[in-house]
Amino acid sequence: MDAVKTKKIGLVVLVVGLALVIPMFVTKPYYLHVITMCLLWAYLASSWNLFCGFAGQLSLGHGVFAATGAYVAVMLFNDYNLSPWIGMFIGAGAAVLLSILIGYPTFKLRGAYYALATVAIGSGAVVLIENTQTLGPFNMGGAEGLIIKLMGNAPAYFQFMTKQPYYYIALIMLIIIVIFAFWLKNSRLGYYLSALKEDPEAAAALGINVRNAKLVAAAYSAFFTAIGGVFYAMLIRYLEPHAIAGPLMSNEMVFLAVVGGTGTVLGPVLGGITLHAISEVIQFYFGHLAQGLHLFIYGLIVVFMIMFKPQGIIEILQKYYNRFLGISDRGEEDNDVKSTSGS
Amino acid sequence: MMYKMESLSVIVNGISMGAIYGLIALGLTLIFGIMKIINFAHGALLMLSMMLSYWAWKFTGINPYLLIVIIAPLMFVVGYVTERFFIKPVLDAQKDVREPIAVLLLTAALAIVLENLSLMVFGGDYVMAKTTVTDATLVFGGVTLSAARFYALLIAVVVSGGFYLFLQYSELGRKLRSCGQDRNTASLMGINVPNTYAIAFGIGTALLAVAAITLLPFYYVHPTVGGVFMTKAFIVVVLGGLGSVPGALLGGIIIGLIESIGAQYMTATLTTVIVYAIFLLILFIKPSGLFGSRLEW
Amino acid sequence: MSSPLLEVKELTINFGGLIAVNNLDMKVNTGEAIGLIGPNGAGKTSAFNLISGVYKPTHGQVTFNGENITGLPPYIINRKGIGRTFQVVKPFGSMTVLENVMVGGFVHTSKRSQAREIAMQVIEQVDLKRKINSLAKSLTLADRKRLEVAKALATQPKILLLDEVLAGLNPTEIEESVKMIKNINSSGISILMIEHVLQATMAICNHIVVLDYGKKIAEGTPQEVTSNPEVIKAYLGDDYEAVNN
Repeated sequence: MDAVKTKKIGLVVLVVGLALVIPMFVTKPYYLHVITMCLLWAYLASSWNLFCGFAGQLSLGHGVFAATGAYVAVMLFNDYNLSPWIGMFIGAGAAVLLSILIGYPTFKLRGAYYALATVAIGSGAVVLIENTQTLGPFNMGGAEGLIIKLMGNAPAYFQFMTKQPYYYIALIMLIIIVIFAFWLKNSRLGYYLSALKEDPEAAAALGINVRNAKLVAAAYSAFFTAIGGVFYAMLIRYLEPHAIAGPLMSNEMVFLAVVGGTGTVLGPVLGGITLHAISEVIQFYFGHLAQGLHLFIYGLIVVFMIMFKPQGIIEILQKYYNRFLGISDRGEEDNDVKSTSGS
Repeated sequence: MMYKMESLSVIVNGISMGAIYGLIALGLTLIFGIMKIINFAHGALLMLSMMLSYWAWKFTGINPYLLIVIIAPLMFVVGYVTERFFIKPVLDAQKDVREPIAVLLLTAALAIVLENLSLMVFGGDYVMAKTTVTDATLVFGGVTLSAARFYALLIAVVVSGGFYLFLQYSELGRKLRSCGQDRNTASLMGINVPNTYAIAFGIGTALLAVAAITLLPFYYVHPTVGGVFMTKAFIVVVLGGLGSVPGALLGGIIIGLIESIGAQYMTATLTTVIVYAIFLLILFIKPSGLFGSRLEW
Repeated sequence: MSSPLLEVKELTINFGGLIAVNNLDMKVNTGEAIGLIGPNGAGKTSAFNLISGVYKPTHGQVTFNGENITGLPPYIINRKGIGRTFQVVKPFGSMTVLENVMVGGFVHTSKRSQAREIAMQVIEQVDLKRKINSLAKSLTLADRKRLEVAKALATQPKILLLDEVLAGLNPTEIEESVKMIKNINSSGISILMIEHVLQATMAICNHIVVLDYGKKIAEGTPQEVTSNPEVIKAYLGDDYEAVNN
């Protein structure tokens, strides 16, 4: 047992250590930007997974939460000079309220219908944003989008002139969400979500308030997704309704989590980093060959994974991980960690 | 008098566009109703049908409406093969899962593959099959209508009606319906369920091909054109009731009318929001739609 | 005169014309083990569903521990102290046996260590310790039935509703399960069990209620009930042998 724990801790220290020193070796801003985006997508996939993976609901409109966080924080910043560091929490709060509002009527819908409802909500949100030029005293930008007011180097306002700070912020965000996901998975709510994911009727017979459990998980998910949206806005410095609230954002989160392994702690992280990196590499080296090539290949990868490795990348790695730790596939050495946590 | 005729053409436009929605929804309700899966590749398949039809017309010059004879069977094969090779294995693997969403994601991923393949092969230009029909008009009792839309309406109604009869009275139709009701019983009665599923998918795609061709003379084709049609088709399916042919047609017409009339008073995109809002209301209040049974969903 | 732990009065449910449970009066006193028997379709599982909150009755009342719990949602009824198993067992397949039972253990605590302790105890009680880290979907039917009982037991119920826990088991497994249920009963948990395996039922229960077409047609000690001509008539179409044994 001690050996296993030591190995686990060792692995974590190694990975985090490596991650911390990457900016020292990768100095070209473009490359660092790409790596930062990989981290951000790993984060967003994880935030989607907090509710959808753990509770087994397919939300295809999660972009609406990223958009809520982003637009609220940006509008407060552009028009009222409120630092995005504060604005992000207000945006996240708004996203939480929205998730509860949406959750109440939609959670009773069966899987496929729930997915359709989220598609309608997501698409509807895009259209609403496109048609709104001003929201009260705030400029919302409508279809042309919102440009984030440039302040040069202003750390207090989430603006930096180099890529390094963004990288580290993304890394910290990712570490935080992984820790949170791990905590959630092993908490009472985590067990409840696993139960209701498999059999809501059986779960109810064991004292689980299924709807409340889902609402709480959805709120957590919306909170983190919103903050991810704010980061995205501050990094790209431009908010476009389709990019942040539309299918591009929503579907990407889902695919990354699915390819990595839904319902696990590290699956979405792996999926996010790997798949996004592949997509960027293809785009960089072969993008000039044909428009849409990188998405075509990306789509093929997802199709392949769903058909042949539905449990995700994490399933492939689980074997090697177990071997490295020196435990059998059942994980019988360690009773404290859930067998599906993949950490 | 002019005002009334204008509103009449708005209504007819709405009905004809709605009939096309209904035709598109028909394939979806067939697949959804029989296989119980949501086909997120439906829109991309529509787009593919439109692309293939456009380029066939471009190279051969044959009247698009005549191309139905070639494109529809072709798309049937595309649908059949897609189900057999991509969807079937995933569906089988999810047999015991309560909510088989992997198939849903698979079709969504296939949609991305098809869209971008189309982008790579056909390019990103907006194209339209401009034939003699495109700008032609018909005059009925003083009312001027777009010929292309009118023909689309005719074809949609005829095909829907024919399909309904096929489903109700033919041997294959009965097989399809029994698979949709209870696949286990159907299997016990000697029906080859996997094959029937593939046929259902093929027919659904073939119906898309017909809809695609009716759109060709007056609608711009582009690799991304499938998305909006698909969302609307789903709304029509839910509105009309899962698995109901008359529901699909009627639901389509209702949506078409709402859009057409709504466009007189607000932007086209806002009518979309209204349609989505209605959709959500139906889901929350009466998910079985107009003609679906309460137990179906 | 202590009041019964669980009591149903005039309990009725009408499914648009089909009256699955018709004016049922029944009670379970603290510490008792009551059997609920009757031919297939007699309304036994419907009665369970009414008591546990899955169905809302069209008429009648369910009282538990002196409190009217009619129509409350299942999760609240469970928290109040009624545990139930399902006729077609519902294990959480991709979770281990321990994790499955811990789900139940979390009812009255939010601490994982406590839930785990409760689960370990219960798993010991149902003799599933040897499979404690196995995935639920890999269990045999007999073990799944035990798991089903363990999950409900972990919620620390005052009464356990068992729905055909013995169905599909071989004679040895039935014998072991009978022992298990008797132990649970003697630990202070009341039992209300639906069963078709009448011999086992009579070994566990001191009082039997017989349903047919939703109505109670007889009740009494096992001997009284099995020699009741009404009961024999109701079963003639089903399992005459079982009654005669």
